[in-house]
Amino acid sequence: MNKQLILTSALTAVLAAGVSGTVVAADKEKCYGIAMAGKNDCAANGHACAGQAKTDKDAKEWKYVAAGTCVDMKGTLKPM
Amino acid sequence: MHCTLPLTTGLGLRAPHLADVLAQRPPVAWWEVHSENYFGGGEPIAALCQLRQDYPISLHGIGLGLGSLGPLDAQHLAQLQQLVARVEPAAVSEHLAWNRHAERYFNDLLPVPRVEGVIEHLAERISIVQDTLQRPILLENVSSYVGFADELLSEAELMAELVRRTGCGLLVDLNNFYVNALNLGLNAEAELAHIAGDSVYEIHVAGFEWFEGTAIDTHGAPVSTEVLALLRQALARWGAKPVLLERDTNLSDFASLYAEYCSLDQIVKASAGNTAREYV
Amino acid sequence: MSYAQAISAFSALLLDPQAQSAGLLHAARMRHYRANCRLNRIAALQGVFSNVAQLVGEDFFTAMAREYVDATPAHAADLHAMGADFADFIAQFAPAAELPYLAAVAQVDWARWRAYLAPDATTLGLTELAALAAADFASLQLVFHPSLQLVQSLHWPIADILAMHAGGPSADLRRGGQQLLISRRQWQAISTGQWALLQALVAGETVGDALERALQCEPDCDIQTIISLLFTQGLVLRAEP
Repeated sequence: MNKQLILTSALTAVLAAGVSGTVVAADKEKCYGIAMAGKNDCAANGHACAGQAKTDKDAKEWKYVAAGTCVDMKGTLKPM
Repeated sequence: MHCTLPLTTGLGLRAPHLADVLAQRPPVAWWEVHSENYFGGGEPIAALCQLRQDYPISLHGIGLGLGSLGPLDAQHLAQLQQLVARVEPAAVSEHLAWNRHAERYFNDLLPVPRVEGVIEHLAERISIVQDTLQRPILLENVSSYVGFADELLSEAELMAELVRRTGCGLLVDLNNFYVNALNLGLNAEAELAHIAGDSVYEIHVAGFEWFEGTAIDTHGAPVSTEVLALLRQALARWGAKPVLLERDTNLSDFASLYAEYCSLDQIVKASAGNTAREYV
Repeated sequence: MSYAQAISAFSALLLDPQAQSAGLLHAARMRHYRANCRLNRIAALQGVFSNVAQLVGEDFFTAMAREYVDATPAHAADLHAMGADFADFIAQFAPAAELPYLAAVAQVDWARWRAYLAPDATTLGLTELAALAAADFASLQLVFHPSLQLVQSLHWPIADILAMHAGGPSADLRRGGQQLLISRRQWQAISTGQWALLQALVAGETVGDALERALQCEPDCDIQTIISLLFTQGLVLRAEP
C-alpha cells in the first residue's frame, strides 16, 4: 500500500466510525478505562487538612523483602 | 462578603465517597472539598462540577502557605484561581499556616509564629490572594503541637486583626482551638471571645485522637463532647452559621459518615434555635 | 525574634531534630510534624504508584517511599505533583535491584497518573476531521490532548504487567520490551512502528515524516489502526499545516 493510500484509508475509517458515533469528546467522558478509581483513587484520600497519629518508622532499620506479586522460577509474574 | 453558604450543616467530601454521593445525592445542605484535589482536569473536576449543579460547594485550600516567607507560590495561586473561576464556589478558604522555606515544601499545615512582623506579612499575602481571586477568602485557625516564646498576640487576636486589615472573613475551627488548649494550655473559650460574630462565615468541627501524649488533629474520630459544647456556645453567641463536619482519617463508608452528619445537624439546628432566647 | 527568624528556626527543627530549638516551646512535638510531612507524601505516592505497590507489597513500598521522600525535597505543596522522578530513584535503589522491572512499572504508573489528571481540552470535531480527509493530511502536524502519554520499556513487558494487575493472566518477564499508549480513557500496547510514529508526531513532525519513521522501523506496521485510535479516542486537538 502506498503512503498516501494508508493515510487516506485511515482517515476514511475514522470518519466512518465517527458517523456511527464512536468518536468521543474527551471532556464528556464519564467512564474512564484507566482504573485510577477502584484501586487508587478510592483508597487514597488525596489532600487532607488532618494530622496523622502514626509513628513514622525508620526504613533503615527494616529488611527489604518484596512481598507483593511473586515471580516464579521461570520468570513469570503471578498476581497474589 | 462573597460567602453564600447556607446557615446549616455541611459535610467534608472525600474522594472515597465521591461515587456514592454522585449516585445517591444525599440531602446534605452543602459540601466542602479540598481545592488541591481538583487542580487537574478529567474525572475529579468533572464530578465536582456535576455536584455543583445541585449543591453549594466550599473550596477549602490546604497548600497556599500564606505564612511562608518569600512570595506566594504563583503556580499554586494560578491553579486555585482557575478552579474558583470554574466552580464558582459559595466560599473559598485557606489556613493560617506556612509550608515552605528555602524552596523546600513541607506538606503539612504549620502554625505561624505570632512574633514581630507576622501581621504585616500575612495581611499582604491575604490581600494578594483576594485581589487575584477577586473575592474575599475565609481564614482558618490551625492546630498547633508546638508554641513560640514571647508571642505578641493569640491566634484569635491575630485573626481579628487580619479581618480588620484585609476584609477577609473567618473560618473558626473549634476542634483546632480545643486541641491547642489541650496541648499548649490555652483557653479555647477565651480565644472565641476575641472573635466578632459578624466576621465568622463558617465553623469547622472534627474529632482528634491522643497519640504519645499529644492530642493530634486527625479528623479521625467522632467530634468530642467538649468541642460540641464549644459549638453550642459559639452558635448561641454568634447566631446561625454554616457548620462543617470534617472527617479525613479512619474514614468508613458514606452511610456511617452521613449518620454522624445527621446527628450534628440536630445539634446545629437546636443551637441556632436557642440564639434568640439567650442573646436578645 | 523576627518572623523570618522564627520560621527559619522552625524549618531547621523540621529537617534536623538536633537543631537549636530557639524560641520553640514543646520542641519534642516537632516529631509529629516530621511524621505528617513524610506520611502525607508517602500516602500520595501510594495512591499514584499502585502497580509498584502491588508488586512489592505495602511494607516494602512504604519503606522505599520513605527513603525517596527523605532523599528528595518536595518542590510543590500539591501532593499530586509528587513522584515525577520516583522511577529514577527506584532504578538506582539497591534493595529493588532484585526486581529490575520495577522502575519501568513506576514509569507506567506515573504516566497513568499524568493522564488521569491532565488538563481538559477540546478535541477535534467530526466536521474538522472531514475537512482533514480532503486536505493534504501528510503535510500536517498534530496537536495532542495533554492526557496522551507514551511509555516504552526496552527490556520488560510493561503492557502484560499492567494487564495482569487489571485481572489478566500472569506476565512472562522473558517476553522482552513493550510500548504503551496511555490516555485518560484507556491504555494499550502498541508496536515499535506505532511507537515511532507517535513519538515523531509528539515531537512535531508532519504526519508524512512520522509515517516514514514508522515504516522504516517496522515495514508492515499497522498505521491505520493507530491513526484511527488517535481520532476515535479524542486524542487529537488540532491539525496544523
